[in-house]
Amino acid sequence: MTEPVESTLETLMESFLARLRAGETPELEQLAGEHPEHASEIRELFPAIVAMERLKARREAESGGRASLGPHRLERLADLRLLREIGRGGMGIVYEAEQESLSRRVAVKVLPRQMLLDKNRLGRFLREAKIAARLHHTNIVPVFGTGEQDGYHYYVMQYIHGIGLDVLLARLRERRERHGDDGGEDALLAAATRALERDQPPGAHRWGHAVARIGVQVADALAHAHAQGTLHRDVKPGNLLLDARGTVFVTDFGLAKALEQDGITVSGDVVGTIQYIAPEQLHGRVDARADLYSLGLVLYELLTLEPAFPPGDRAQLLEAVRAGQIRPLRGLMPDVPRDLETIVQTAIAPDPAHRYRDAAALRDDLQRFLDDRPILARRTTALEQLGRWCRRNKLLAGLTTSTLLALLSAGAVGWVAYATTTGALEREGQRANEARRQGARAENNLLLALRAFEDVFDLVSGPDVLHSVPDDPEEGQSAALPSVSVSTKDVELLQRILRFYDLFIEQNADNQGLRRESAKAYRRTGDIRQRLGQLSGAEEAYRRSLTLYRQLLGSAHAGGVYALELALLHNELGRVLAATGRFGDARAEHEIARDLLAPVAGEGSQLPARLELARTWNLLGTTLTITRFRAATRDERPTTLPTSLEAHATALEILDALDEATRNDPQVRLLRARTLRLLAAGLLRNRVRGDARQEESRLAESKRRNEESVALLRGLVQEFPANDLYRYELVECLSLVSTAPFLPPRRGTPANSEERSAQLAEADTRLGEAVRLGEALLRERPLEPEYKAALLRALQRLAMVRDAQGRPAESVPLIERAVSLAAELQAQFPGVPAYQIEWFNAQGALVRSLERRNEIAPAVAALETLVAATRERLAQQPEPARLGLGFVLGRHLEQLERLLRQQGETAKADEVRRQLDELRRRR
Amino acid sequence: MTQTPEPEDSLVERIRQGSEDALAEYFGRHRERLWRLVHFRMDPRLQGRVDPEDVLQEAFVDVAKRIHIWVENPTMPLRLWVRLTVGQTLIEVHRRHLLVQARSVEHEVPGRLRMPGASSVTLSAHLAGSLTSPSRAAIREEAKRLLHEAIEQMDPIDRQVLTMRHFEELSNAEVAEELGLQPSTASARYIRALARLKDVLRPLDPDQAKGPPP
Repeated sequence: MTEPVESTLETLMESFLARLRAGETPELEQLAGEHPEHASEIRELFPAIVAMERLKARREAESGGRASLGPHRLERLADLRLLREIGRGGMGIVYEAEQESLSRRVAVKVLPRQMLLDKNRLGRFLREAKIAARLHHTNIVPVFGTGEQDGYHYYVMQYIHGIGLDVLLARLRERRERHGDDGGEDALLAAATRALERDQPPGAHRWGHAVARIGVQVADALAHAHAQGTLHRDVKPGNLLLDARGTVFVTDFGLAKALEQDGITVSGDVVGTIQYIAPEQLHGRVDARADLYSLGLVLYELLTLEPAFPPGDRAQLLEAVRAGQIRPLRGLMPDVPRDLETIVQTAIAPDPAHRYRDAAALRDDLQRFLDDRPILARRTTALEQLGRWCRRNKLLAGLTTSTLLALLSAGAVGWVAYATTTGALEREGQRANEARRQGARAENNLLLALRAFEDVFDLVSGPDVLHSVPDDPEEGQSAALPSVSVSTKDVELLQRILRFYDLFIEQNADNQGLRRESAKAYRRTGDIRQRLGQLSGAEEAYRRSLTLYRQLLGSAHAGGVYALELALLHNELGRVLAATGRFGDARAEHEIARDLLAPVAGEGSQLPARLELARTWNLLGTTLTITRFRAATRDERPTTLPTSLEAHATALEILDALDEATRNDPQVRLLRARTLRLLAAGLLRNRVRGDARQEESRLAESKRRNEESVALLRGLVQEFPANDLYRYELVECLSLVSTAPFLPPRRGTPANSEERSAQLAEADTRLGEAVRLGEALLRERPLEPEYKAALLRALQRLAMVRDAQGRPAESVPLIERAVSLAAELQAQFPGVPAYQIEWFNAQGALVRSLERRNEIAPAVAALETLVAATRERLAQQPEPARLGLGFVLGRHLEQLERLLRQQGETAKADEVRRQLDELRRRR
Repeated sequence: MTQTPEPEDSLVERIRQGSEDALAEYFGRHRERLWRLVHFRMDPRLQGRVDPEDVLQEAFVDVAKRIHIWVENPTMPLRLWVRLTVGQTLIEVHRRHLLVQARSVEHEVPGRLRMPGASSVTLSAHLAGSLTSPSRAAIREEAKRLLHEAIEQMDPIDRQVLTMRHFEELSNAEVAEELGLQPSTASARYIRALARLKDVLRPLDPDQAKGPPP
């Protein structure tokens, strides 16, 4: 028997693989041209070969989270003779080596080959290494230079005879486990410890002093580097070396940044370092204070011998870092010196604004502690801590009842004190100075309490950290969208806060000094009510807030300093009105907002105002879609209103006029993506009848806008995967597909079936992705109503596509899921009409889909549910809305009758007929 | 003086005659591939705990200890026999570290060799593992699920073929030999596995996601 000859395709694949492994990048198209008989396989399969090879290369570069040189072994690099491996981190392997030309001992860090394949990254690496080489400081490991050989990039540093603090920590932990038995400890560690603990009597404070001495040195090194404009970005025990004289050396300056960026290669490293990363670094925002945070965590760990964030599951770790869940230092080390505790806690404050302002400040405070002088960092008060705690733990679910009670009582005390002292002032008019002083203190108390409430409001309606505009954080909230879930339990808690807030406002609304606060508080109350679906409560709160603002402004009609706040208020009120079906009134509110913003939102003015103006135009556009339609149907006069397309285009113009740096702001990108989507949606709706060419260009433009929006959002999602808002917006965007091909081909116009099926396939892919993303999003934020609504819309559209593709079996489960989501929404937010409509739509689609599959019995059951719900809704509706709903009910009943007859259920069908007749008679 | 490397045949012949130097030289020549075998087939739970380098050293000792068995009874080419022995050592390492029965580590291994197999878990851990950066943590979960699905749906032998060809850099003929398949069958299985992966891998590979492949 002869061995079957291997196919030519196999030969092609083998040679392709060999070329890839030799470092070539064969051109696929050229290959396909040379081998036309295998062209399709080359195009289809070879990319998978390339991908597999790349994955292999990456994988080899990082064995289990540590760098690896893959299967290669190194013995020398240029004139460096590698002596032994002394360490391995995520980003490279460190060898002790002899530099033969200078016959000196050096340390060499060799980076895995795959790490620097990218030219940009290589450039960054070389740049950072150059900068690091310029840092001259007693506590920074000197960098001599860089080199490259066989694709291995390395850099050469002074060899430090010392140990990494990671090793030190491991040994100290070991020692603790052996109950302080010092046996077998190495001489270096003993000497270092002795040096650090010098002049201190044995006892609890001795180790504290040693740690502070380490901290002073590192902080001084950081201060020096920061002054040169270099951030470390990866301060961790493994990057701090301690020698026998107790000197600490910081190593790997800037390397993290050089290798990070697109975030592919540091992969493994992140697992190790994430433990020491500052929360804002997760969002890619780093300044000098991030290094201070990391150093603080190192000091924390040195003191307690426990990592602030125990290594563990990645997702949990990320979450813990993000939420700043650090066990209080004193809990782990009851005898920690009080000042040292304050210093460390200040350094590791989750909000950079609460940390030391720079490394020098941290260094000086540590030095003060060592000198037994009073430190400058202030201990945070319980209330401040509570406030910060609230800000961090954005999920109100985390608010325990006792915390809430504490908050409430703090607020109540402040308020009572205020009320009584002002009362005393008025009644007696004596001891005025004393009383004024008391009053001022009480007012401060009150403001503090108020601020604590602000935090609670932030929890539920506040902006994500990414959405605040840095130059004016408070007003920046305006354009931000909430991104926190609210659970039923939270709602109850919130109601209690709201009651207190209402009471507070009632008591203080007339006080000039507090009126603005009150106005704001009402506005926020409205925000929360809106979020909770309590639309009428929200409307009331907004109107009250408006009144207060108007009082503040006196008779002036302009917004003055409050223009932005007022515009925001009108817009929110407009949203509530639109949500309850009063589109004309809503439009009027948005128009007021637009006029308020016009004088303050011109070019060169503050960003928040300009963004709010863009948002206003978008909101206007949305209401215009409906009001124009109504105007067109009711009035004979041609409408003079601008089209919604014009409104969205105006919004886009505003965003386009921003300078480039601002346009890069994630918030601006989000707003732009949304504007583009609204434009695309508007274009899809505005069918041009009769002109095929115009019609085609309209669809093409819509598609182009939509693609642009998708691309923007994909970028945002990639950069900030932790921000669910971007993913939500992407779901909405992907769900926007032309519905034209869903409809059965129209008679008389023979549909190009190939084109149609291609369109359907494309829609299928997009909607499939939207559904997947939506489901993932909902798993993370199960209660977010808008996420749920977005998912259910995507599901419905996907079901339509599947039906149109002749795959009804696959559409029913989708619709069922949509119905159950809609039912959840309706139950959760009974006051929001839009969610009710979603349910009716979904349920209607379910009936149609079941009928199409000839599943008559389930279709009848679903239809009966729908009829019952429609009846119920009809009973609740005010008179003017009944007519339309009655019509809908009539159609349902007709359909039900038909299905029942089809099933042979004549008696039931007759009963339905009777109901139908009665309905018509009444009408 | 430049030295032309000794031809493989003569190296094998010297091994037959009992030269330990020749065996070391032979092992050294095949180090890269053997490293890949160990690195790839190592249980994800051991990644980071056990250095493939250490396993290789241990494996060499085993090879040297047992080479007489192959010399006396060469039922298969030396190359294959060495791979088998390294695989055995790896099973030992797994047993030691994971305290599990050897059977459960050498699951789903088609073919003639007894060694830790390319289970769907190891494969997807390897593939998705290359995406562990903070900015990708979330995308990764979804990508991982898709990938896992694609791999789950693969025939175990297809999976084995795919991984041996890429992660261990074996040729089709070598894969066929090791798994006891006809080369044409092995090739067909490879193509089938690639076809299954092509849609999933594209979005997974960040370089590819950005633009067309080179």
